[in-house]
Amino acid sequence: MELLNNNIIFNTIDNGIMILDENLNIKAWNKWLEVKTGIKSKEIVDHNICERFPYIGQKKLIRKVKSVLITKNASFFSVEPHEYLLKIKSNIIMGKVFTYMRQDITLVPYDIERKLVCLYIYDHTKLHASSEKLKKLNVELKELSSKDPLTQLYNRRYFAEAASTMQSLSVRNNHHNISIIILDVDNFKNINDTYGHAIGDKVIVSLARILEDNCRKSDIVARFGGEEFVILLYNTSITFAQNIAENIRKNVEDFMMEIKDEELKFTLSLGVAQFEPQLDKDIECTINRADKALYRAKTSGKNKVLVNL
Amino acid sequence: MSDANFLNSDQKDCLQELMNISYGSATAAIADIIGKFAKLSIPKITTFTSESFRDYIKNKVEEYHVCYLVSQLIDGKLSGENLFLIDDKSLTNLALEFGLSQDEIDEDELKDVVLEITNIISATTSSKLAELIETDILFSPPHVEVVDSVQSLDEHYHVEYNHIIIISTIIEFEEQNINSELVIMLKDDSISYMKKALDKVMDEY
Repeated sequence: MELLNNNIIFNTIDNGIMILDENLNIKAWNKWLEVKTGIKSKEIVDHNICERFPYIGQKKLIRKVKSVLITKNASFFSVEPHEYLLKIKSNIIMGKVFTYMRQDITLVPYDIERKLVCLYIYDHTKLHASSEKLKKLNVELKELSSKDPLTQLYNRRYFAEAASTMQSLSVRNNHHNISIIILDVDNFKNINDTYGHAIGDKVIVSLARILEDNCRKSDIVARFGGEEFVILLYNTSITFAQNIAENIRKNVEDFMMEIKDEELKFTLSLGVAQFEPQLDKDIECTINRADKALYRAKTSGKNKVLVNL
Repeated sequence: MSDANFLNSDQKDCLQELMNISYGSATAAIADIIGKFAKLSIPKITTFTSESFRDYIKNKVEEYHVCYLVSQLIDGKLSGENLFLIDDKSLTNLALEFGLSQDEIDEDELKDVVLEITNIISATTSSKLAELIETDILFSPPHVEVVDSVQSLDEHYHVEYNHIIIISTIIEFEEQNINSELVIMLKDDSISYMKKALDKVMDEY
């Protein structure tokens, strides 16, 4: 490797270059690596990389080296899922996201006869920091676009997407039951007219918490708009869904909101239906049937649960 | 260019033969690298247009519980993209064959294993194919996405290729069957190049 030590490209390129033999002994170590690690070439050449850097997974690296020598093609060691090969402190001062330099590594055959491979180590810290920030922002954006800002429950758009996924899942799992509860606050207009919209909003938020408390994590609870909410219960029979609806109705009936010196109580009407593949083209049809049951509950005295069989 | 005149039956037969040779190299490479004997079933070749491919992938994602989708760009006269699809159960089996214990297996390890197997299969098959039709290609690092629903597939689905070749195979180890699929997507120029190259191979043999 004497030749490489005086090679201008090898020593001026802006990435790490290292030559390894099949037993993971370092055969060449360029200037970039000397500067970034603080280890001189003469101190490390002929040493085993895993002995010098014990955090490197030996089994994995040997497999990669083997893969390069056998396929005579490149192999890669990318940031995801590895983060880095050599632990080098990141030198970024402004907007530092990672403590250690994020490295993408390409392994290529160097000398097949002598079983040598070359490792190119690229500093992709900035690139991955931007992509990490972008990922976080995307998650926040997704959250914002799928949630109702007042109650933090899912919105109608997300519900439609999730319902379609659940329907496919149900078909795949031998038609697991899907039940729908649709509900609406009784005489909500009176609450708004009597107490004002701010209190109306408090009622909606309190109801959202009651719904969450009565549902499982796997259920999808969404605000459909105004004082109307919908719940999708996966792998749930209509009888069980009816029980959940009844619990919700009862909890709301017992719930009391204190406003200054007054006590505010409200009730719900609820409609329940189960997804029937013979009857419903999609979940939207089941929602329509549950909505019909809700309408009957409203017109037949309110504060009740009715089922559309 | 419709699917019917994408590859004629002789070209398909020739490609199948070349892929058999390529998969032979892949099998030998896997056996050498992880020290276990693997068998790749005879690859089944299907050709798709971009629209029908979308449905095909959607069905795959629905069929798999969780789908690991690895893509690797290829440059050169055979330029395009290789996709490797494998479900989480098969991938866990593959990780066990790679010598990992059940305790060691987590999502990062699974990603590492799928990236490595894709690189091996993609590199050996495409390089061998390139060698057989006398051209050079370069590979970019593979990239993995975990797709658990058709919705999340839509976020990743941006296929720009008009014509797609699917080479399905099953990797069989002594103890486990591993279902996976390699999809080779070629740009239109590359398809024309490959058709000419396949004709040349047929003329020579």
